[in-house]
Amino acid sequence: MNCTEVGELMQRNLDYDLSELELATLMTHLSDCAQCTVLFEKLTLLSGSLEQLPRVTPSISIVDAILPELERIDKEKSNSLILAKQRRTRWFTSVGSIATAAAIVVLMINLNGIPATNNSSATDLAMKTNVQNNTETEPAADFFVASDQEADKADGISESDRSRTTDGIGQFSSSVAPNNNGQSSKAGSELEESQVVDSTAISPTLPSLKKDILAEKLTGSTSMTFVPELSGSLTEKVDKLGVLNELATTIQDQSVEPEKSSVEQYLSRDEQVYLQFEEHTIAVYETSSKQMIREWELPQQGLFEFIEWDIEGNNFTFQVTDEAGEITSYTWKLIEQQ
Amino acid sequence: MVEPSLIKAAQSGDREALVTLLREIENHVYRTAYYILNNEQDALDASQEALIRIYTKIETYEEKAQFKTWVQRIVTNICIDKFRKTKPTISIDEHEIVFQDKSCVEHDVMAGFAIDEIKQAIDQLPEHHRTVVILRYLQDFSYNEIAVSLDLPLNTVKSYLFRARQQLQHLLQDYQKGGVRG
Repeated sequence: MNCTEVGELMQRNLDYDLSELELATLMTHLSDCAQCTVLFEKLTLLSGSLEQLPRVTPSISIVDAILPELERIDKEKSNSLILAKQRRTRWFTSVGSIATAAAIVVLMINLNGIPATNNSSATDLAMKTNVQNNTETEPAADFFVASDQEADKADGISESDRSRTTDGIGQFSSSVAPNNNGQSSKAGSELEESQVVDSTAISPTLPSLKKDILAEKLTGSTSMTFVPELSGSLTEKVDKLGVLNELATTIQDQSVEPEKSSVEQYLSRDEQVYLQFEEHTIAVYETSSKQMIREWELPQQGLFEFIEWDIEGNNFTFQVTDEAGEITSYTWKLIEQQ
Repeated sequence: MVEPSLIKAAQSGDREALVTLLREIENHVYRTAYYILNNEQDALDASQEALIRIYTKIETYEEKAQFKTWVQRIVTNICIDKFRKTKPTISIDEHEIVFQDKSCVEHDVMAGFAIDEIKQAIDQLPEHHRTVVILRYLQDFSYNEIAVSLDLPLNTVKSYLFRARQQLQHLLQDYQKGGVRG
């Protein structure tokens, strides 16, 4: 065996890879070859040193350090799952104008693959009446509810679901009543609370079909045009589809100019920018160019309510009501947020 | 050695099991990153990235592979990517300067070569040679385990390892000569 071949045996010996026979062969060669013996000793010393390299450990717990990131990943994952099954977004803002008239439009979503359209028409009628009455009030709130949803592929809602929905309407109407007279922000809060309950009860029964119809109508129209559309074409359309029954409420400030009064946009006090809640994000746009300046991921799942811009227009506040009904308030900086 | 039952629990969505699993492999991941990158901060960054990737990809681990080789594949890939991005090609001259400066400070001598000498020598190896040496000596992997981790043929692993030891031998010998001269 020549020195080159022995070189490989030497190397494999360092890795404890030699058979007894190979080891004997190596040793025999080394006893006769001074040059290989020197190399063998050097490599053995090197390998011994490598084996003693310190088993370093991190100075901090890396897992602890990434736990928040892991939670964020989990939340994102569960959000996307929840969003796939069920999504609700809701905004609320105070307008604070005394001399303005407003309209309350109640739109309740309640899918019914089968008849029942008589009931829904009655509901619509009642709601339209409410709209008329409420235009005379002076609510201090601009209100928007969007429920889009689905996941539940049931053909229609069950009797119990339907009755629950009906209860929801009754409950809702009663909370609207005080608002007509009081129109204080407290009344608005009550309204809001009952609405949360309604949405929660109803949404899971909504099929994806009407999500598109509703989203189209709600996002596509300004507040001014929203009312006629709602009482006319939307109801008709839904009725035609025979799947109807949507109930939502919006109290609108009719003094706001149509192009600025989209229920989705919240102008800063200097009107330089406006805020918009979108599917998964909160976005800020420059008013003049309508260009998005920046956007953030929604911080959590829930019902979003815009509260206010601060005086400087640097911060905005909104709150989120989660599934458990817990309300979390967020104040974010327009610049250097997160 | 991570318990197979823990891996299964983690894969089935038990978040607590998954975090426990990460804690068990954290030191192994960091050790590899530390020796490949030869820098504590970079090693922490790479380890975080690797653990997050393991967290998000745990479902993709298949039992037919050893878990430890799967983990080391992830961390070595991240380190090699990171190394390529952050480490510009350094001339041999610059290397020698760094090498000698550091060695003067390092007196933690083992039975053989000083730890810092070896670390500096390892740092001068081509990335794959270095990675093979690290898996062999810092993870105690067999040829086969190294081959699986790095997705290299067995003979290539041996060839890299043998050549790496020869290179290290020369580098350390040169250093010792330089040290005598200095």
